[in-house]
Amino acid sequence: MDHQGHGLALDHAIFKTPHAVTFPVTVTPREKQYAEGKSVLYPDGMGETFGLVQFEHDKPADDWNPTLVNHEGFFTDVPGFENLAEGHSGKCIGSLSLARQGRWFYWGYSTDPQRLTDPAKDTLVNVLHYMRGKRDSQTVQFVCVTRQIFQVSLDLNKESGYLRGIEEHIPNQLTPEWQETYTDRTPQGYQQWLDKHLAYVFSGKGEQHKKKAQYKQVYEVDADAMALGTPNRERQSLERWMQLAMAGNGEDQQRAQRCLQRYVHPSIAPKDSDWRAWYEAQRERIVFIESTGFWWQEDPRVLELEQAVRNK
Amino acid sequence: MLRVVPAFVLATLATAGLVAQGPSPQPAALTVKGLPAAAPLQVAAMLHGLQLQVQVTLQDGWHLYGRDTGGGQPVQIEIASGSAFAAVGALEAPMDAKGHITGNATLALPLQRVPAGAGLRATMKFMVCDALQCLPPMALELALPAAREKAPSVLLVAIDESERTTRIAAFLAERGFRTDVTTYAKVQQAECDAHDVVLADSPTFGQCRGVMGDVKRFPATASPIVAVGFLGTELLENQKVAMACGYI
Repeated sequence: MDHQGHGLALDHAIFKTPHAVTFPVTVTPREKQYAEGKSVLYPDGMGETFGLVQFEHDKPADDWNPTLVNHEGFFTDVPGFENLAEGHSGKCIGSLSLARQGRWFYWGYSTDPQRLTDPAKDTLVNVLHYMRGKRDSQTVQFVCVTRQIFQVSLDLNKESGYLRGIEEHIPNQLTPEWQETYTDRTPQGYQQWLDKHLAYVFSGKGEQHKKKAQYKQVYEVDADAMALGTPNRERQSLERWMQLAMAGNGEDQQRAQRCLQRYVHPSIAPKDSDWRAWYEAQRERIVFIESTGFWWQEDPRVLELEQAVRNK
Repeated sequence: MLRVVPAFVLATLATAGLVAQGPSPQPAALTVKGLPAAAPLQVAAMLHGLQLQVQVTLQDGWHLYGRDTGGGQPVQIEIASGSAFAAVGALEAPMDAKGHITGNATLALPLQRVPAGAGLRATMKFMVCDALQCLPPMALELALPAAREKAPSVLLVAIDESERTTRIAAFLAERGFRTDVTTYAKVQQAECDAHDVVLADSPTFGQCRGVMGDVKRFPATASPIVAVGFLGTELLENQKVAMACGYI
């Protein structure tokens, strides 16, 4: 299966230049693993059928696992991330076989011309041409998966009745004080916990969020942001924190100052606490990214453009 | 490091006029596709510096429209996404008072380079008319392949110098890339930085034993990297690129 692809972003340059690529498409009834869920390339979910294309000839009988596909969703919040094709995964919708982030391109198929179909060969050539122009692209470093992981446990339960995520994996990925708030470990209880807390979870800030047992990261709920009613990834919240930090008083001001320190990346935070001047300068340059550690930081697309201007 | 650019490939490319001209002041001809054989005009297109010039030669009595006069569809040229250029102004078209383009005329579209993209592809749409009729709308595809620009250099990083590696290198050379080959055990940052693109290859999962240590030592580089298959995911994870850390 992994030698095939679907959901191709055919408008992208890698399918158009210098070679106009045309893949023969086999219209295929939607498979069971694709019945649920959405992905960037299938924002409304998959329809009753999908178009399957061959990147490689059928795999040899004496070989297996010809390619791997990446699983998207936990890192694709990076601005400029390009989802370009899904692999024919037996697991679920949303497994990427062609993707780009910054200077890195993932090619989830063979590069052996004996294995590749003619359209795939042309696509590979196009990819190399395309990537030549990405030397100034800004690659974002991964720190933690996004809060989407909380939703996955709920989705898996709805699809298959899977409970281990809700009963075991989620609580084990919370800091101890927030584990205590998660007492009703049923699907209904979990949904209620999410409704109250999901907008305020964060991770990636220090040792307390690093790997614990088999879990890659640990999440915390931001009591400050929750008390202020400011979901931590929204721009309105950032603006509210700045207002409170500069003109508020008492506990709200302290909460806002802690939020700013927690979410505005130190590399761009103002040295003089003049948030008004800082925001005037940075408003169009910054973006909130969870997979880098829940930061307001410079938008990698802006950095790329600025570098291109400097190179002229 | 093994330089793989077979002489016959270079000879073939040179003969075909595909080796490196670049976006220099020297004009480069675009291919023009889609013009019906019986059409009462000829069309040629050139990239001249930062200007796309389209020369039309109309038979007597026939004209194009340079602007919307309520008659036939005026000439439009759209630059395709993915090109190395974008339009930065309106199409300049010599026309008479009635908006007609006749005889020999050169249309000019000002361009600018864009950071991403390669080559130049455009669509030219128009209707050609005489005093009595207009022919059905036409759409021509204009293209300057990226291969006419300087061929990118590729550093192919493989697990070994097997026949498979040789096949891949030969394929890249045949497709116009200046290709060098090294292995995960030998690769150095300087040689990665010196190439336009690094192609970090991977055979199938079962054939990757014994190279994981080398993959972990893969140098940080300023060059763009195409990470392939299983070893590609290992590279992405080792270098903490937010692309391959999402397994559950």
